[in-house]
Amino acid sequence: MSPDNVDPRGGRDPGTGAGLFRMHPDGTASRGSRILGIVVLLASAAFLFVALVASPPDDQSENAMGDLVRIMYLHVPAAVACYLAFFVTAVGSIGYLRKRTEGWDLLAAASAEVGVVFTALTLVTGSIWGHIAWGSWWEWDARLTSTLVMFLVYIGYLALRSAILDPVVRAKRAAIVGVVAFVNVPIVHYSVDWWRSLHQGPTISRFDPTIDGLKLFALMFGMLLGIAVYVWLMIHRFRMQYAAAHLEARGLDLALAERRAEASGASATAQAAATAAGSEPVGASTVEKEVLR
Amino acid sequence: MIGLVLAASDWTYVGWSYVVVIGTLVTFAVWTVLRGRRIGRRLPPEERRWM
Repeated sequence: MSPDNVDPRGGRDPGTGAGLFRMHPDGTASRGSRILGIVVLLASAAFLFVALVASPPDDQSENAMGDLVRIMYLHVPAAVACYLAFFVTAVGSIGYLRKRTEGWDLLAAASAEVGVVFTALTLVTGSIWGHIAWGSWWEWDARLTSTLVMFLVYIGYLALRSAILDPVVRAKRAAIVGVVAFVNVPIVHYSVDWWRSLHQGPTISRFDPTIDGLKLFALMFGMLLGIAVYVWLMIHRFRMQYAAAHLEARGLDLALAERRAEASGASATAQAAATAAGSEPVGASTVEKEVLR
Repeated sequence: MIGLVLAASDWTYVGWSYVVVIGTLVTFAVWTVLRGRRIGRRLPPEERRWM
């Protein structure tokens, strides 16, 4: 074989598609997720332009925030994405408890992972905003505290998943926690209505939004983009979880086969000793069968 | 350091917010894609139902 014919990938599948659409042969991308990823990248560039350049500072509303309003274009979408993520986790958990199929469990897990990231971003961007608006990085306010509790609960959910080795037990217990944990999400959302709170009330979840024009557009654009980013991340996390679960199952099968082979090997040794002593060997191919399985 | 923080304008905080959010999401996305490839490499192609 001439050097020109040598496959740099060592004979492995080079993947499908070309250019931006080329998909790695081992990766978790599909054509659909690749298209969504490109749309998200282009939309992100447009969003940055709208949020940082085109939209004006907030000078006219009752509690004018000036340029700080631009932090809201990240903070609110991150919060919406984490609500959605934990809702999907609850749906996946209920689905698993009803159907007992792997897909629902993996959906819940993947969504919780992405939701935790978005919750962390909600807390960080809120803290940065609060440092200027309230003069403090953190206040033990109803909204902030309930959001922190939600973050810790879902960290606990992920910790529980990684602590249990048996996939069936893990899926069942995680599903119960996934349903119970969602109770906190409406508490977070309505905390500003139920308790006196430093945190401002709803900005757009009513018929007379407190912002308008390009500011409202930037906020809505950010929310749609946040949901699109969540979907893209969730698809890839789901496929990664699926691959990991199947590898885990194959590893268990292999370990079981090795154990059986070891046990059969011990009996084969005993039989060989018996043969050497003049007895008839029985089931001599058992080890080979177990290894081939 | 404290003086720098106190002197920071609104735009500094806005800038840091965008850097933190974009940086975190890009890092998480890249980590997810690379980890997916590492795990996918060990999985037989016939079990990758999304391909």
